[in-house]
Amino acid sequence: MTVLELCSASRRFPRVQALDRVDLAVRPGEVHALLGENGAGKSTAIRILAGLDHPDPGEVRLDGRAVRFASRTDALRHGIGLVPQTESLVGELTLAENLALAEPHRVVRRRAASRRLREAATTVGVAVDPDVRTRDLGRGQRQLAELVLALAQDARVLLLDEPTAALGPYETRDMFTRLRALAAAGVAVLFITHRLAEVRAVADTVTVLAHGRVAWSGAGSDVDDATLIRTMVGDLPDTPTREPRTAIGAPVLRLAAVSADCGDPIHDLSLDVHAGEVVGVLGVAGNGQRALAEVAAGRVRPAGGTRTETGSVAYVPETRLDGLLPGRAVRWSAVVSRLREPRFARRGVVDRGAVTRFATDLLARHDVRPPDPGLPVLTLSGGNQQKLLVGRELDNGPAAAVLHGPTQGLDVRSAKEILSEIARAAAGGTGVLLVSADPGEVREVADRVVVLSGGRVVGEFPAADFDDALVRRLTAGGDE
Amino acid sequence: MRFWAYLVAGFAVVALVVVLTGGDLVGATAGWFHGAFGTTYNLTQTLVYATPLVLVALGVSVALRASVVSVGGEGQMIAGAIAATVVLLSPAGSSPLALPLGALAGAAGGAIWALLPGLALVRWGVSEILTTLLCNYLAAQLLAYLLRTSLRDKVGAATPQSASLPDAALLPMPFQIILALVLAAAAVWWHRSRSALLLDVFASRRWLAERLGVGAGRAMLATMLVSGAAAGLAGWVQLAGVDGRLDLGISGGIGFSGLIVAVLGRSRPGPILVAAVVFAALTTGANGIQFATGIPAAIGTVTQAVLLGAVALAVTASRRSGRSW
Repeated sequence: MTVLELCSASRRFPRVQALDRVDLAVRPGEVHALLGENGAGKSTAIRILAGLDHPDPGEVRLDGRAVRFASRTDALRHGIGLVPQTESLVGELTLAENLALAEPHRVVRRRAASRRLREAATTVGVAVDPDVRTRDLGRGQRQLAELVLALAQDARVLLLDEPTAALGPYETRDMFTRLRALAAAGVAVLFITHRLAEVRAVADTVTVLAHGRVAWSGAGSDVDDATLIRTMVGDLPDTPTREPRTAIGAPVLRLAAVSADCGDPIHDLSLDVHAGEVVGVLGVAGNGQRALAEVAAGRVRPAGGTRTETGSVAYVPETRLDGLLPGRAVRWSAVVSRLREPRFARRGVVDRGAVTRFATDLLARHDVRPPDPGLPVLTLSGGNQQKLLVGRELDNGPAAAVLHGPTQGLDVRSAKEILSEIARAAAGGTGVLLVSADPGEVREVADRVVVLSGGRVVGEFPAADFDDALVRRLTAGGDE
Repeated sequence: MRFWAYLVAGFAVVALVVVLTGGDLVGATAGWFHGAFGTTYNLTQTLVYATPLVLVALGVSVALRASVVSVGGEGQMIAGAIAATVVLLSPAGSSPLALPLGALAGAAGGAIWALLPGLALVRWGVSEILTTLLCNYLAAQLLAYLLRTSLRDKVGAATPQSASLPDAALLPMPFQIILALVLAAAAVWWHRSRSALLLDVFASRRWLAERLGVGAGRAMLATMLVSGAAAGLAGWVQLAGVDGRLDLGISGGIGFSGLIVAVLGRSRPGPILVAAVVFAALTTGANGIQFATGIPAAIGTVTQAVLLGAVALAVTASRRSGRSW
């Protein structure tokens, strides 16, 4: 019955016990959700199942027999496909070429690869053209393409590490339909997620990991959301309750009929952000979000139209490492936007003491853990990297702030903390533009919602009138 | 740590080559040491050869902080030497100000030679690696042309070379070493300065640097001009301190070797000084090896190549483990 399982698997890294005697079983025809906070051990578990890592001690069993995969390719030969968190396709190549690349033949068999991909795509009901360069596909399409790629390699177990992290709600729904179809065809599916709604939408079985241990496991129908959250993170910090703000001031950031092309163009887009206001931008990913954020932040000059700012504009880019200095200690990322201030240099030479003091204080104020300014940025968890970035950008009360997907890929607790930061900044008078793929968070923190479709604003309403059906219709490009 | 392991491995490879070909390792090492440092003359030769290497490498290290890879040291040295020759063969070369004027002319010549690739990079995004490399050939052709025409020594024979510099323009011996040490000290200060840190930010996250007012054009152009000026200065040192006149061999591969020294010293002034002396010693000591053991002097070049390979591996390995800087 069980096809692939972890048996009392442990894994220790320097300073952390990533997994502690974890049991986990995936069965054919079942969609299994793996839940947990950042750093709970989910990715480690999936990496072990996919042959990228080994339990120590503990074992992996395939069809009831203990196995030790030499590599991801070895695991794939046994029918275990991994769709990793970061995209693994070579963008310059077509999907068929990517498949040919993954195969052991010395000669690239493009035609055969292409045919097998089409077959696999039909099985799941995905329309993916195997002969288009993968970088020209949309983000959602690329995720599905990875799925098809694994299937074309005869995977009977699919491991997906946060397949929906970068997808909007409607693309996510589409992905889930495919996953259900796969399960119906007898494939065993294990996927990592942070979002409870997704568990509800698609999972038969749920396993919750906390601090490397299985905190709860069983059928999804046997458990309510509150219990899941509690086993995942303990008690949550309170969400700041949002009164509709009356103290909204003058515009601090104005876009007037701007057009720009960042591979994801916007056309004739006008938008004002006022002091003390949070404007949420919703839409299906790839409808101009990136161009809007980059132009609003002042990083890309618009091809047409005008952008006016009244003061400093903070920016949290979509890829968080893009805003940090990943190769260096945390202190440099903390101070980087204020390096020009005289206190950080003495006679032209950087004053490390002053930088460290400033960073220590910033980490404490924004609850970045561990609060050690000397650690390399990459040793921080994703949630803490994001808190560092958001904290730094919002720290000295900028006139305006542009945040692109600030909670993407974060666990519930870190996401809440980021939203609280945003609410605090707005209460302090910052005008916030929040570009997000998550209607839930926009509803929670925004005063006004703007819907983006095809690079244009297709709808705008106060957050109090939030209506999921309306948003869905608008993002789908329907009439207003 | 890993870096030193690679260096030691590099030397071990060379030792292995010597032993496997039936050479006398102890004799070779002793011969090398004698050839490079054993007598005052040999030591002086080594330091004189190391000096322009230090200058070129310091310049390269400045550009590297902004991720600008300049391989134009060779051409910039030539341009600096030409400019210095023109100034020093004029009446100014016999004046008491001949030394500073020569230095200025050399630096300016090198900077001008870096200006063209710099502008191409800033204005049109043309790869500086390509353009600086091509400018080396331009400089070499210009040198050959000038040495056969307007700069040609009218008194001398058919060899393409300039007239000798007047005595006032010649650089007395310890002076160039002091110059290299002073510039290295200045580089130590600069590498710890805020502007260097801003260039780091520029190199890894351009938008953050631009928000701090570091313009892409200025950052790249300024570092290229500085590295060009440093190489031009090295051209003047070679001209006024070693050759005493301009000839076709003025740069002698120092522009490229300086780049290797910068890599060996991982762009830091202190290690660059050490790397330059070691690198120079491998050239000057090679003859000592040949005298002592009969192993061909080419072993010096072989060692330089192996060390460069080892360092390239070390850099790649540290990058792959995510510890770039």
